Amino acid sequence: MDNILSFKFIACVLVAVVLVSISTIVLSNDYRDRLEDYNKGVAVARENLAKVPVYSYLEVGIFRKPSPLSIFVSGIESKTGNHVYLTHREIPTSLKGGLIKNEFAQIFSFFDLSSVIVIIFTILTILLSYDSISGEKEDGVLSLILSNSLPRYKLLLGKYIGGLVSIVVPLTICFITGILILLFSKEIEVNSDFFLSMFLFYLFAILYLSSILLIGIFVSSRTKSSFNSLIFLLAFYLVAIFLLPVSVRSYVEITGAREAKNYANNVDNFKREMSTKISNVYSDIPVKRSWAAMIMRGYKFILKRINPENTIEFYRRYFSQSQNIVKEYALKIYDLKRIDFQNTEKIKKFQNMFLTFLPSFNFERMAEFEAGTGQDYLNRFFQQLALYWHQYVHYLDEKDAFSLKYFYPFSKEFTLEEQELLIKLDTAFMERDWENRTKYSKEAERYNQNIDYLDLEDLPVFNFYKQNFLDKIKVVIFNILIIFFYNLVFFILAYFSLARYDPRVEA
Amino acid sequence: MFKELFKRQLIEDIISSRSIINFILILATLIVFPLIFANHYKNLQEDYSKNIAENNKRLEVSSRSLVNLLDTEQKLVMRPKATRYISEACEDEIPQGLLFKLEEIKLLSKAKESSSSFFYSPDLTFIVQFLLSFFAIVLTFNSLTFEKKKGTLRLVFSNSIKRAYLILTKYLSALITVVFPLLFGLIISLILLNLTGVISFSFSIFFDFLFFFLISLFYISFFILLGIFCSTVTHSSKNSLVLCLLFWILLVVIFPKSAGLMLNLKHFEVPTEKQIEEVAERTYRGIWDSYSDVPHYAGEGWEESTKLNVKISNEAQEAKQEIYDHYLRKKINAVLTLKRINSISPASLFEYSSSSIAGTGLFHFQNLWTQVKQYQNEFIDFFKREDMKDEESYHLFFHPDYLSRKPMDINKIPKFEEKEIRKAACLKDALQYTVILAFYNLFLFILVFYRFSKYDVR
Repeated sequence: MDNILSFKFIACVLVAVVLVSISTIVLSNDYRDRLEDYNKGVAVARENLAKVPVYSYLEVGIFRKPSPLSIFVSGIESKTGNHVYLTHREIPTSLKGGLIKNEFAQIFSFFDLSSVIVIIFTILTILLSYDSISGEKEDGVLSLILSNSLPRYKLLLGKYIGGLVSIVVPLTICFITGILILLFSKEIEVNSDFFLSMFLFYLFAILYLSSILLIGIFVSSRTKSSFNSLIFLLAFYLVAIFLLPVSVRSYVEITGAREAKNYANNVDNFKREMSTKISNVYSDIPVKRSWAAMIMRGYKFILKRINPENTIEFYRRYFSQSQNIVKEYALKIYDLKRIDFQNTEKIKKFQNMFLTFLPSFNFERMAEFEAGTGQDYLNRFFQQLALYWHQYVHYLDEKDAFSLKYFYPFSKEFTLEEQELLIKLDTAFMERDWENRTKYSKEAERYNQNIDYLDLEDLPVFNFYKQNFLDKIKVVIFNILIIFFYNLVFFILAYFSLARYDPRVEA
Repeated sequence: MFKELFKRQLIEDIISSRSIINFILILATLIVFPLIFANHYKNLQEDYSKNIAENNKRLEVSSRSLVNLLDTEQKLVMRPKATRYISEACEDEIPQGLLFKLEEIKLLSKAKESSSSFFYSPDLTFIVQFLLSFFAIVLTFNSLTFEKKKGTLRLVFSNSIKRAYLILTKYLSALITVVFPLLFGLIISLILLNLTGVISFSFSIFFDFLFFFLISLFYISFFILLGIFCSTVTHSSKNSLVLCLLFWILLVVIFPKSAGLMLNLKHFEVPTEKQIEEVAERTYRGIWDSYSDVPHYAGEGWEESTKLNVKISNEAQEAKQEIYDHYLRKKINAVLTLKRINSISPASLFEYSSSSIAGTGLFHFQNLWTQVKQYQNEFIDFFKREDMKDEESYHLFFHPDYLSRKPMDINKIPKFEEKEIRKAACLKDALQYTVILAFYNLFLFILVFYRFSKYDVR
């Protein structure tokens, strides 16, 4: 009661609630936009898939659905793009698109619930606990309390539970405010999964704050004056919340970037190698082409209807050989990236090890994992995408995709009319008759009727395997344990130091 | 008396536990940060020189024929600066530069992938903005309440000392206590940066550090005054501290980011890069379509029709460029306006002015943009001049079919080189924020003075 009515408490809670409501409104708007973008993207991708004339045009749009929890734990979700168009040419390792409107406004990224907990609730907890023991001593109440036959552990427990309750109340208010705002904005649908995740997130937050509370009580029971205890705790706050994460993270990012040069150094060589191989294939094919091969466009190569048979034969051979090379190099380049990834992952492990000492880091990691907005989630997404790529390429092989169907969408024989036009064109070219050449070429350009679209019914679908509850817990169990461990250790430490505590006030 | 008081206060401040903790913290950070930065800087420079090599290679390939230069794309990115140590200003997060073609300047969409969701970078601004301001508050929040509690305040006043002097001594000694580790740390990090080969001592580096130091003085002084102010309005140290911390969180942590809220307003809204591309493309086509009834190629008089063709093409290209420019300007202006709105927080003022002094971040980008525009003019001049020398060319700018195909000497082609931003420009940009900061200081100083003169010492 003492806690809840104090000025510091009311002030902090007010700030927290205001921040949470504002951030929820802003971020839920943002989420809605992203969801809309996602839905639009999926619709477009599906539409495109229905109209693929040849396999070289086939691109499977894979979209990452925004998680409603990103409203409370933004993580890196809104910054990493939301889709990738998969082809056999590349195994993707980064996402495209996303809804960053003003790139220059990145300096103003706003708070979410998780950062409110880390920044404001931590300081609230510190303010509640720094004088829990030493303050009473200064007031002389401690010796009074202890003169009653109250065991010291009960005193500690009382302090702890009282403190915890007075933190959990505003925390709950913040959570409820957030969820209510979300429920009132009608366009956002939430399901039971969402509530389960929110509940877990809530539990994590309590666990985290309880560890901070115990650290506060411990420090308070170690120091002689509450002023010293406060100075120490505030220094801890600065170091743990701002200083260490900033330096360690940037150190890791920078050294990580240094280690990950494998791809950057070798990719040019690989690509050059690939293009030499492909151009060798091109020049080695013994079939002669005629002019009409010019009627194709872009890297996707689609030959229009009006093409003589030898040209088609030439490209059939060319693509069947070259696309296998392309496929092979997609794997090789992916391997390069994977080595880089493993190197950076090693350094990241160091970061995780180092930062695990900080309760706030554990909390953030748990929250991001639960919400599916962190780096872990992204890594898993790409791992599964790579698996899907193999499946997809296998499908292409089965369909004999790198053959005639790769670039030529027609199944029928040439009509008489078309054959005539072909001959006319050939003669115009041979005789350098520019006027007729332009005329017939334009006519030939128009021969693009009755394209048979590919039947892609049996194309394997990418299903992102979402982890169920237990799997999720397994990954972050270490972080949870650490926080538990902190709770336990500091409780015991606080108990011991309280047991030896001298409640007398020095004169 | 004043001297005596000042000396005592200073000694008291310097040997207190809080200032020792602070000193150790600041020193540790100022040793670690330069080492992190040295690595970072090396990375950046490698990337930058790779980019330049790439540009030169492209120019070299195109130099086989003058007309090829029309379509040669160059990525003109911001040169990494050693002053990024003073202020990173999110330079890795904003677009890295511009995509340059002879007729077209486009925003280079973000190339760097950042994996952290953390927006603070290890630079001097961070140290001053967070650590020192925090320390300033912790040092002063109980400057009066504590003495009052102990009863020494009354004693002090029983001597015939003016209240103004007391405040002044408190203020000055706190300022010196906070600034001293900064000065010390700055020198250490300068030496460390020199040893790691990031900077060589020069006038401009000293200038930057000096001005950064001056701005820091203003900023720290604000928080010292804030601490004293809180101490004068409250009667117990605890309340004073809570008030101070609240102010600190609001001013340093929350306000600098809060302008982001307004980005969602209609006024600041800009389309995404993809949508801008679409709009530009539509405009381009629209202009071509508006001339659809004009014959482009006639058998006779092809010259006229070609000229018309070129004219339309240039017009369409200009319109397209106008779209790109418009949205880029809009984006930058939106951020600038938000920065101005954010000026209520001294922390943001400090952040912006130090980034201007360092010439990093958005300010850097703006300068790059101006320079790229100049480069474009230079490049076009060069192109036209060279084309005029060729008698076989029709000199129809810029239609690829009617221009010179002469090979070019690669050394003659102008290459983009980013110039240093003039110090005067940096100062001018920094000044607009620093002035407000100074004004805040003055305001708070008067407020403190007024409050204290009415303070009940009992």
